Amino acid sequence: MKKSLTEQSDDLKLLDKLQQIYRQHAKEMPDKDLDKAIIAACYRELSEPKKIIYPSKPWWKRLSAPAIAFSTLVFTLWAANWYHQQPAIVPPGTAPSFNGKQHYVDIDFTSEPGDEYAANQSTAPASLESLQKPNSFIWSNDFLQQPKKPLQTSGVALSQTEVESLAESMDVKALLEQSLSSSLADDSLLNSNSLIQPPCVATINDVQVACEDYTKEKWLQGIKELLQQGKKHQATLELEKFHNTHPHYKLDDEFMKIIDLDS
Amino acid sequence: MHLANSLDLKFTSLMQDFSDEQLMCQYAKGDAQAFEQLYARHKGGLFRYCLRQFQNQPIAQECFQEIWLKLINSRANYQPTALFTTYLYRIAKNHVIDLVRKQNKTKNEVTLQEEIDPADFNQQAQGDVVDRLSEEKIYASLRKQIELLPMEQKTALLLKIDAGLSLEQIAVILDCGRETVKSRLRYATKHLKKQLGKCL
Repeated sequence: MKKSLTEQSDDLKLLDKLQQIYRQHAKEMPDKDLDKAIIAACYRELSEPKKIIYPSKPWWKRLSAPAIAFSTLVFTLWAANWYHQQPAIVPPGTAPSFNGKQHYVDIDFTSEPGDEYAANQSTAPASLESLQKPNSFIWSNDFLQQPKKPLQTSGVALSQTEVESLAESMDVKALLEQSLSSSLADDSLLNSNSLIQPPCVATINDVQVACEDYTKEKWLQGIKELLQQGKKHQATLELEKFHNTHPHYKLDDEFMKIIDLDS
Repeated sequence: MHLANSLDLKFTSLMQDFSDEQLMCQYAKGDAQAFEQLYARHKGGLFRYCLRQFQNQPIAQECFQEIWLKLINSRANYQPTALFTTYLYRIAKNHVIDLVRKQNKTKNEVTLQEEIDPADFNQQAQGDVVDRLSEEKIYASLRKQIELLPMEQKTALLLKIDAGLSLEQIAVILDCGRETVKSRLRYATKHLKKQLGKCL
Protein backbone atom coordinates (compact mmCIF):
# COMPACT_ATOMS: atom_id res chain seq x y z
CA MET A 1 0.00 0.00 0.00
CA LYS A 2 2.81 2.35 1.00
CA LYS A 3 4.64 1.40 -2.12
CA SER A 4 1.73 2.20 -4.35
CA LEU A 5 1.25 5.56 -2.63
CA THR A 6 4.88 6.46 -3.13
CA GLU A 7 4.63 5.32 -6.73
CA GLN A 8 1.64 7.56 -7.24
CA SER A 9 3.37 10.55 -5.74
CA ASP A 10 6.41 9.85 -7.94
CA ASP A 11 4.17 9.73 -10.98
CA LEU A 12 2.57 13.01 -10.02
CA LYS A 13 5.95 14.62 -9.52
CA LEU A 14 7.08 13.32 -12.85
CA LEU A 15 3.90 14.61 -14.48
CA ASP A 16 4.49 18.06 -13.00
CA LYS A 17 8.05 18.01 -14.26
CA LEU A 18 6.93 16.94 -17.72
CA GLN A 19 4.31 19.68 -17.73
CA GLN A 20 6.90 22.23 -16.75
CA ILE A 21 9.32 21.19 -19.47
CA TYR A 22 6.61 20.90 -22.06
CA ARG A 23 5.10 24.31 -21.34
CA GLN A 24 8.50 25.98 -21.37
CA HIS A 25 9.32 24.77 -24.81
CA ALA A 26 6.09 24.08 -26.60
CA LYS A 27 5.82 27.24 -28.62
CA GLU A 28 4.44 25.96 -31.90
CA MET A 29 1.80 28.26 -33.27
CA PRO A 30 -0.33 28.19 -36.39
CA ASP A 31 0.68 30.26 -39.41
CA LYS A 32 -0.46 33.84 -39.57
CA ASP A 33 -2.24 33.07 -42.81
CA LEU A 34 -4.20 30.43 -41.02
CA ASP A 35 -5.07 32.93 -38.30
CA LYS A 36 -6.29 35.38 -40.89
CA ALA A 37 -8.34 32.73 -42.66
CA ILE A 38 -10.07 31.69 -39.46
CA ILE A 39 -10.78 35.25 -38.36
CA ALA A 40 -12.10 36.03 -41.83
CA ALA A 41 -14.36 32.99 -41.61
CA CYS A 42 -15.68 34.34 -38.31
CA TYR A 43 -16.52 37.72 -39.85
CA ARG A 44 -18.06 36.03 -42.86
CA GLU A 45 -20.25 33.92 -40.63
CA LEU A 46 -21.42 36.95 -38.68
CA SER A 47 -22.19 38.98 -41.79
CA GLU A 48 -23.90 36.14 -43.65
CA PRO A 49 -25.13 33.65 -41.12
CA LYS A 50 -25.84 30.28 -42.62
CA LYS A 51 -29.47 29.41 -42.65
CA ILE A 52 -30.31 26.03 -41.28
CA ILE A 53 -31.84 24.09 -44.11
CA TYR A 54 -34.01 21.26 -42.95
CA PRO A 55 -34.36 18.37 -45.37
CA SER A 56 -37.66 18.74 -47.13
CA LYS A 57 -40.23 16.01 -46.61
CA PRO A 58 -43.15 15.31 -48.92
CA TRP A 59 -46.58 16.22 -47.53
CA TRP A 60 -47.65 12.60 -47.21
CA LYS A 61 -44.61 11.80 -45.09
CA ARG A 62 -45.31 14.72 -42.81
CA LEU A 63 -48.91 13.69 -42.45
CA SER A 64 -48.25 9.97 -42.06
CA ALA A 65 -47.68 10.00 -38.28
CA PRO A 66 -50.82 12.00 -37.38
CA ALA A 67 -52.83 10.04 -39.95
CA ILE A 68 -51.77 6.71 -38.45
CA ALA A 69 -52.54 7.96 -34.95
CA PHE A 70 -55.96 9.26 -36.03
CA SER A 71 -56.90 6.09 -37.91
CA THR A 72 -55.84 3.94 -34.95
CA LEU A 73 -58.05 6.01 -32.66
CA VAL A 74 -61.01 5.83 -35.03
CA PHE A 75 -60.64 2.08 -35.46
CA THR A 76 -60.42 1.55 -31.70
CA LEU A 77 -63.55 3.59 -31.11
CA TRP A 78 -65.41 1.81 -33.90
CA ALA A 79 -64.40 -1.62 -32.58
CA ALA A 80 -65.41 -0.69 -29.03
CA ASN A 81 -68.76 0.59 -30.27
CA TRP A 82 -69.33 -2.50 -32.42
CA TYR A 83 -68.60 -4.88 -29.57
CA HIS A 84 -70.78 -2.84 -27.27
CA GLN A 85 -73.73 -3.11 -29.62
CA GLN A 86 -73.43 -6.86 -30.09
CA PRO A 87 -76.23 -8.80 -28.33
CA ALA A 88 -75.23 -10.95 -25.43
CA ILE A 89 -74.99 -14.64 -26.22
CA VAL A 90 -78.18 -16.24 -24.98
CA PRO A 91 -77.40 -19.31 -22.92
CA PRO A 92 -79.21 -22.52 -23.72
CA GLY A 93 -82.43 -22.83 -21.78
CA THR A 94 -83.92 -19.45 -22.58
CA ALA A 95 -87.13 -19.28 -24.57
CA PRO A 96 -87.34 -17.84 -28.07
CA SER A 97 -89.53 -14.77 -28.32
CA PHE A 98 -92.53 -14.33 -30.55
CA ASN A 99 -91.42 -11.19 -32.31
CA GLY A 100 -88.25 -12.81 -33.58
CA LYS A 101 -85.96 -10.88 -31.24
CA GLN A 102 -83.67 -12.47 -28.72
CA HIS A 103 -85.30 -13.12 -25.42
CA TYR A 104 -83.33 -12.30 -22.31
CA VAL A 105 -84.01 -13.85 -18.99
CA ASP A 106 -83.52 -11.71 -15.94
CA ILE A 107 -82.38 -14.00 -13.23
CA ASP A 108 -83.01 -12.91 -9.70
CA PHE A 109 -80.09 -14.34 -7.78
CA THR A 110 -81.35 -13.01 -4.52
CA SER A 111 -84.54 -15.04 -4.69
CA GLU A 112 -82.82 -18.08 -3.23
CA PRO A 113 -80.27 -16.87 -0.70
CA GLY A 114 -79.27 -20.39 0.23
CA ASP A 115 -78.38 -21.29 -3.33
CA GLU A 116 -74.56 -21.21 -3.39
CA TYR A 117 -74.35 -22.21 -6.99
CA ALA A 118 -76.53 -19.30 -8.09
CA ALA A 119 -74.46 -16.94 -5.98
CA ASN A 120 -71.31 -18.12 -7.68
CA GLN A 121 -72.87 -17.42 -11.08
CA SER A 122 -73.47 -13.78 -10.24
CA THR A 123 -72.47 -12.41 -13.61
CA ALA A 124 -72.46 -15.32 -16.00
CA PRO A 125 -75.62 -16.09 -17.91
CA ALA A 126 -77.14 -19.39 -16.96
CA SER A 127 -80.37 -21.26 -17.32
CA LEU A 128 -82.90 -21.26 -14.59
CA GLU A 129 -82.85 -25.01 -14.41
CA SER A 130 -79.17 -25.17 -13.82
CA LEU A 131 -79.47 -22.57 -11.09
CA GLN A 132 -82.26 -24.36 -9.35
CA LYS A 133 -80.34 -27.60 -9.39
CA PRO A 134 -77.12 -26.70 -7.65
CA ASN A 135 -75.50 -30.02 -8.35
CA SER A 136 -76.03 -29.91 -12.08
CA PHE A 137 -75.15 -27.73 -14.99
CA ILE A 138 -76.11 -27.48 -18.62
CA TRP A 139 -74.10 -29.52 -21.10
CA SER A 140 -71.65 -27.18 -22.69
CA ASN A 141 -68.04 -26.97 -23.73
CA ASP A 142 -66.89 -25.92 -20.33
CA PHE A 143 -68.00 -29.12 -18.64
CA LEU A 144 -64.40 -30.25 -18.48
CA GLN A 145 -63.57 -27.20 -16.40
CA GLN A 146 -66.13 -28.31 -13.82
CA PRO A 147 -65.67 -32.05 -13.82
CA LYS A 148 -66.96 -32.62 -10.31
CA LYS A 149 -70.53 -31.58 -11.10
CA PRO A 150 -72.86 -34.10 -12.66
CA LEU A 151 -73.26 -33.63 -16.36
CA GLN A 152 -76.72 -32.99 -17.77
CA THR A 153 -77.69 -32.67 -21.38
CA SER A 154 -81.25 -31.79 -22.29
CA GLY A 155 -82.99 -34.40 -20.29
CA VAL A 156 -79.87 -36.59 -20.08
CA ALA A 157 -78.08 -36.62 -16.77
CA LEU A 158 -74.70 -38.19 -16.11
CA SER A 159 -73.72 -39.31 -12.68
CA GLN A 160 -70.57 -38.26 -10.87
CA THR A 161 -68.84 -41.57 -11.54
CA GLU A 162 -69.74 -41.34 -15.20
CA VAL A 163 -68.21 -37.89 -15.44
CA GLU A 164 -65.08 -39.11 -13.71
CA SER A 165 -64.80 -42.07 -16.00
CA LEU A 166 -65.40 -39.71 -18.90
CA ALA A 167 -62.55 -37.50 -17.80
CA GLU A 168 -60.31 -40.53 -17.44
CA SER A 169 -61.13 -42.31 -20.64
CA MET A 170 -62.14 -39.26 -22.71
CA ASP A 171 -64.35 -41.61 -24.71
CA VAL A 172 -67.03 -38.98 -24.96
CA LYS A 173 -68.96 -40.46 -27.81
CA ALA A 174 -69.39 -43.88 -26.25
CA LEU A 175 -70.39 -42.47 -22.91
CA LEU A 176 -72.96 -40.12 -24.37
CA GLU A 177 -74.38 -42.85 -26.53
CA GLN A 178 -74.81 -45.04 -23.49
CA SER A 179 -76.28 -42.26 -21.42
CA LEU A 180 -78.69 -41.14 -24.12
CA SER A 181 -79.96 -44.56 -24.97
CA SER A 182 -80.62 -45.35 -21.30
CA SER A 183 -82.39 -42.11 -20.58
CA LEU A 184 -84.37 -41.77 -23.77
CA ALA A 185 -86.24 -44.93 -23.04
CA ASP A 186 -87.78 -43.34 -19.93
CA ASP A 187 -88.26 -39.93 -21.34
CA SER A 188 -91.89 -39.19 -21.86
CA LEU A 189 -90.96 -36.37 -24.16
CA LEU A 190 -89.80 -38.73 -26.79
CA ASN A 191 -92.86 -40.83 -27.10
CA SER A 192 -94.50 -40.99 -30.46
CA ASN A 193 -97.65 -39.19 -29.26
CA SER A 194 -95.80 -35.93 -29.17
CA LEU A 195 -96.56 -33.63 -32.08
CA ILE A 196 -93.10 -32.18 -31.95
CA GLN A 197 -90.63 -34.94 -32.64
CA PRO A 198 -87.32 -33.96 -31.18
CA PRO A 199 -84.67 -34.48 -33.84
CA CYS A 200 -82.61 -36.68 -31.57
CA VAL A 201 -85.04 -39.55 -32.08
CA ALA A 202 -84.11 -39.78 -35.70
CA THR A 203 -80.46 -39.43 -35.05
CA ILE A 204 -80.07 -41.36 -31.89
CA ASN A 205 -77.02 -43.19 -33.08
CA ASP A 206 -75.35 -39.97 -34.09
CA VAL A 207 -74.78 -38.80 -30.59
CA GLN A 208 -73.24 -35.44 -31.29
CA VAL A 209 -76.01 -34.31 -33.62
CA ALA A 210 -78.66 -35.46 -31.23
CA CYS A 211 -77.16 -33.58 -28.32
CA GLU A 212 -76.86 -30.44 -30.29
CA ASP A 213 -80.36 -30.56 -31.75
CA TYR A 214 -82.40 -31.83 -28.92
CA THR A 215 -83.07 -28.71 -26.92
CA LYS A 216 -86.00 -27.15 -25.20
CA GLU A 217 -85.72 -24.23 -27.54
CA LYS A 218 -86.42 -26.48 -30.50
CA TRP A 219 -89.48 -27.80 -28.75
CA LEU A 220 -90.74 -24.32 -27.99
CA GLN A 221 -89.90 -23.25 -31.49
CA GLY A 222 -92.10 -26.05 -32.78
CA ILE A 223 -94.95 -24.95 -30.50
CA LYS A 224 -94.53 -21.44 -31.77
CA GLU A 225 -94.73 -22.67 -35.34
CA LEU A 226 -97.92 -24.57 -34.54
CA LEU A 227 -99.44 -21.39 -33.16
CA GLN A 228 -98.44 -19.50 -36.24
CA GLN A 229 -100.02 -22.16 -38.39
CA GLY A 230 -103.25 -21.73 -36.42
CA LYS A 231 -103.13 -25.15 -34.74
CA LYS A 232 -103.82 -23.69 -31.37
CA HIS A 233 -105.19 -26.84 -29.77
CA GLN A 234 -102.15 -28.92 -30.66
CA ALA A 235 -99.88 -26.11 -29.56
CA THR A 236 -101.65 -25.85 -26.22
CA LEU A 237 -101.28 -29.58 -25.63
CA GLU A 238 -97.61 -29.46 -26.48
CA LEU A 239 -97.15 -26.46 -24.25
CA GLU A 240 -98.79 -28.25 -21.36
CA LYS A 241 -96.51 -31.22 -21.94
CA PHE A 242 -93.55 -28.95 -21.98
CA HIS A 243 -94.64 -27.17 -18.85
CA ASN A 244 -95.20 -30.44 -17.07
CA THR A 245 -91.81 -31.75 -18.15
CA HIS A 246 -89.95 -28.56 -17.33
CA PRO A 247 -92.01 -26.88 -14.64
CA HIS A 248 -89.16 -24.48 -13.65
CA TYR A 249 -88.48 -23.28 -17.15
CA LYS A 250 -89.36 -19.63 -17.46
CA LEU A 251 -91.70 -19.39 -20.40
CA ASP A 252 -92.41 -16.39 -22.53
CA ASP A 253 -95.40 -14.26 -21.52
CA GLU A 254 -97.28 -15.27 -24.65
CA PHE A 255 -96.92 -18.95 -23.76
CA MET A 256 -97.95 -18.25 -20.18
CA LYS A 257 -101.14 -16.52 -21.36
CA ILE A 258 -102.04 -19.56 -23.45
CA ILE A 259 -101.52 -21.85 -20.48
CA ASP A 260 -103.55 -19.61 -18.19
CA LEU A 261 -106.37 -19.36 -20.71
CA ASP A 262 -106.44 -23.08 -21.11
CA SER A 263 -106.53 -23.78 -17.42
CA MET B 1 -9.16 58.49 -35.91
CA HIS B 2 -6.78 58.64 -33.00
CA LEU B 3 -9.71 58.64 -30.63
CA ALA B 4 -11.18 55.62 -32.36
CA ASN B 5 -7.91 53.72 -32.01
CA SER B 6 -7.66 54.54 -28.34
CA LEU B 7 -11.25 53.38 -27.84
CA ASP B 8 -10.43 50.17 -29.62
CA LEU B 9 -7.46 49.58 -27.35
CA LYS B 10 -9.58 50.26 -24.29
CA PHE B 11 -12.20 47.84 -25.57
CA THR B 12 -9.58 45.15 -26.22
CA SER B 13 -8.18 45.53 -22.73
CA LEU B 14 -11.67 45.23 -21.38
CA MET B 15 -12.12 42.06 -23.40
CA GLN B 16 -9.13 40.52 -21.69
CA ASP B 17 -10.97 40.68 -18.41
CA PHE B 18 -13.81 38.55 -19.69
CA SER B 19 -13.88 34.83 -19.17
CA ASP B 20 -13.90 32.44 -22.09
CA GLU B 21 -17.56 31.71 -21.56
CA GLN B 22 -18.51 35.38 -21.56
CA LEU B 23 -16.53 35.93 -24.73
CA MET B 24 -18.20 33.00 -26.42
CA CYS B 25 -21.62 34.31 -25.45
CA GLN B 26 -20.73 37.69 -26.89
CA TYR B 27 -19.53 36.05 -30.07
CA ALA B 28 -22.78 34.09 -30.25
CA LYS B 29 -24.58 37.44 -30.15
CA GLY B 30 -22.48 38.66 -33.07
CA ASP B 31 -19.36 40.18 -31.54
CA ALA B 32 -16.42 39.26 -33.77
CA GLN B 33 -13.84 40.84 -31.48
CA ALA B 34 -14.85 38.47 -28.73
CA PHE B 35 -14.07 35.62 -31.05
CA GLU B 36 -10.67 37.13 -31.91
CA GLN B 37 -9.88 37.28 -28.23
CA LEU B 38 -10.93 33.68 -27.77
CA TYR B 39 -8.91 32.60 -30.73
CA ALA B 40 -5.83 34.36 -29.43
CA ARG B 41 -6.19 32.61 -26.09
CA HIS B 42 -6.61 29.09 -27.39
CA LYS B 43 -4.96 28.88 -30.78
CA GLY B 44 -1.59 27.74 -29.46
CA GLY B 45 -2.86 24.98 -27.26
CA LEU B 46 -5.26 23.66 -29.83
CA PHE B 47 -2.71 23.79 -32.58
CA ARG B 48 -0.20 21.81 -30.58
CA TYR B 49 -2.92 19.36 -29.67
CA CYS B 50 -3.57 18.75 -33.37
CA LEU B 51 0.13 18.64 -34.15
CA ARG B 52 0.83 15.97 -31.55
CA GLN B 53 -2.11 13.93 -32.68
CA PHE B 54 -1.07 13.79 -36.33
CA GLN B 55 2.69 14.40 -36.26
CA ASN B 56 2.16 16.06 -39.57
CA GLN B 57 2.07 19.84 -39.91
CA PRO B 58 -0.25 20.15 -42.96
CA ILE B 59 -2.77 17.68 -41.60
CA ALA B 60 -2.59 19.32 -38.18
CA GLN B 61 -3.18 22.75 -39.72
CA GLU B 62 -6.12 21.47 -41.70
CA CYS B 63 -7.58 19.83 -38.63
CA PHE B 64 -7.00 22.98 -36.58
CA GLN B 65 -8.78 25.13 -39.15
CA GLU B 66 -11.72 22.78 -39.40
CA ILE B 67 -12.14 22.71 -35.63
CA TRP B 68 -12.32 26.49 -35.48
CA LEU B 69 -14.71 26.57 -38.41
CA LYS B 70 -16.94 24.12 -36.60
CA LEU B 71 -16.87 26.39 -33.56
CA ILE B 72 -17.65 29.42 -35.71
CA ASN B 73 -20.62 27.74 -37.32
CA SER B 74 -21.99 26.31 -34.11
CA ARG B 75 -21.99 29.52 -32.09
CA ALA B 76 -25.74 29.30 -31.56
CA ASN B 77 -25.43 25.86 -29.98
CA TYR B 78 -23.08 26.92 -27.20
CA GLN B 79 -24.57 26.75 -23.74
CA PRO B 80 -22.87 28.94 -21.14
CA THR B 81 -23.32 26.18 -18.56
CA ALA B 82 -20.42 24.30 -20.14
CA LEU B 83 -16.84 25.50 -19.89
CA PHE B 84 -15.55 26.89 -23.13
CA THR B 85 -12.36 24.84 -23.01
CA THR B 86 -14.42 21.69 -22.52
CA TYR B 87 -16.60 22.65 -25.46
CA LEU B 88 -13.67 23.48 -27.71
CA TYR B 89 -11.61 20.40 -26.92
CA ARG B 90 -14.61 18.18 -27.23
CA ILE B 91 -15.10 19.39 -30.77
CA ALA B 92 -11.37 18.91 -31.32
CA LYS B 93 -11.35 15.38 -29.96
CA ASN B 94 -14.30 14.31 -32.08
CA HIS B 95 -12.82 15.86 -35.17
CA VAL B 96 -9.46 14.24 -34.60
CA ILE B 97 -11.14 10.87 -34.19
CA ASP B 98 -13.04 11.42 -37.42
CA LEU B 99 -9.87 12.30 -39.28
CA VAL B 100 -7.95 9.40 -37.81
CA ARG B 101 -10.67 7.04 -38.88
CA LYS B 102 -10.69 8.51 -42.34
CA GLN B 103 -6.99 8.19 -42.81
CA ASN B 104 -6.74 4.87 -41.06
CA LYS B 105 -4.28 6.51 -38.83
CA THR B 106 -4.30 3.78 -36.24
CA LYS B 107 -2.61 1.44 -38.63
CA ASN B 108 0.11 3.97 -39.32
CA GLU B 109 0.69 4.43 -35.62
CA VAL B 110 1.39 0.76 -35.21
CA THR B 111 3.89 0.74 -38.03
CA LEU B 112 5.49 3.88 -36.66
CA GLN B 113 5.89 2.24 -33.29
CA GLU B 114 7.48 -0.71 -34.95
CA GLU B 115 9.89 1.46 -36.89
CA ILE B 116 11.28 3.31 -33.88
CA ASP B 117 12.75 0.96 -31.37
CA PRO B 118 12.53 2.49 -27.92
CA ALA B 119 15.56 0.51 -26.89
CA ASP B 120 17.68 2.52 -29.28
CA PHE B 121 16.49 5.68 -27.64
CA ASN B 122 17.27 4.24 -24.24
CA GLN B 123 20.76 3.40 -25.36
CA GLN B 124 21.16 6.93 -26.61
CA ALA B 125 19.79 8.30 -23.41
CA GLN B 126 22.10 6.17 -21.36
CA GLY B 127 25.14 7.28 -23.26
CA ASP B 128 27.68 9.88 -22.33
CA VAL B 129 25.69 12.57 -24.02
CA VAL B 130 22.81 12.17 -21.57
CA ASP B 131 24.23 14.40 -18.91
CA ARG B 132 24.86 17.17 -21.36
CA LEU B 133 21.42 17.07 -22.96
CA SER B 134 19.87 20.43 -22.79
CA GLU B 135 16.24 20.90 -21.81
CA GLU B 136 15.43 21.52 -25.41
CA LYS B 137 16.69 18.10 -26.34
CA ILE B 138 14.69 16.61 -23.52
CA TYR B 139 11.69 18.45 -24.84
CA ALA B 140 12.32 17.14 -28.34
CA SER B 141 12.52 13.59 -26.99
CA LEU B 142 9.48 14.17 -24.84
CA ARG B 143 7.49 15.45 -27.78
CA LYS B 144 8.50 12.47 -29.84
CA GLN B 145 7.54 10.05 -27.12
CA ILE B 146 4.23 11.81 -26.56
CA GLU B 147 3.49 11.43 -30.23
CA LEU B 148 4.18 7.72 -29.96
CA LEU B 149 1.71 7.21 -27.12
CA PRO B 150 -1.59 5.48 -27.81
CA MET B 151 -4.23 7.97 -28.80
CA GLU B 152 -6.29 7.85 -25.61
CA GLN B 153 -3.26 8.33 -23.36
CA LYS B 154 -1.86 11.00 -25.63
CA THR B 155 -5.12 12.96 -25.62
CA ALA B 156 -5.38 12.81 -21.83
CA LEU B 157 -1.75 13.82 -21.41
CA LEU B 158 -1.96 16.73 -23.86
CA LEU B 159 -5.12 18.04 -22.28
CA LYS B 160 -3.39 17.88 -18.93
CA ILE B 161 0.06 19.25 -19.64
CA ASP B 162 -0.66 21.57 -22.57
CA ALA B 163 -4.22 22.79 -22.13
CA GLY B 164 -3.84 22.63 -18.34
CA LEU B 165 -7.26 21.12 -17.76
CA SER B 166 -8.29 19.40 -14.56
CA LEU B 167 -8.99 15.67 -14.37
CA GLU B 168 -12.73 16.35 -14.21
CA GLN B 169 -12.66 18.52 -17.31
CA ILE B 170 -10.64 15.92 -19.20
CA ALA B 171 -13.11 13.27 -18.11
CA VAL B 172 -15.95 15.33 -19.54
CA ILE B 173 -14.16 15.83 -22.83
CA LEU B 174 -13.19 12.17 -23.17
CA ASP B 175 -16.56 10.88 -22.00
CA CYS B 176 -15.09 8.71 -19.29
CA GLY B 177 -14.62 8.67 -15.53
CA ARG B 178 -12.11 10.66 -13.53
CA GLU B 179 -10.32 7.50 -12.46
CA THR B 180 -10.02 6.38 -16.08
CA VAL B 181 -8.32 9.66 -16.93
CA LYS B 182 -6.05 9.22 -13.96
CA SER B 183 -5.02 5.73 -15.00
CA ARG B 184 -4.43 6.86 -18.58
CA LEU B 185 -2.19 9.63 -17.33
CA ARG B 186 -0.35 7.17 -15.09
CA TYR B 187 0.24 4.78 -17.97
CA ALA B 188 1.44 7.64 -20.15
CA THR B 189 3.79 8.90 -17.46
CA LYS B 190 5.17 5.42 -16.89
CA HIS B 191 5.76 5.01 -20.58
CA LEU B 192 7.55 8.35 -20.82
CA LYS B 193 9.59 7.57 -17.73
CA LYS B 194 10.62 4.28 -19.22
CA GLN B 195 11.51 5.76 -22.57
CA LEU B 196 13.21 8.92 -21.42
CA GLY B 197 15.07 7.15 -18.65
CA LYS B 198 17.70 9.17 -16.92
CA CYS B 199 16.95 12.31 -18.89
CA LEU B 200 14.28 13.10 -16.39
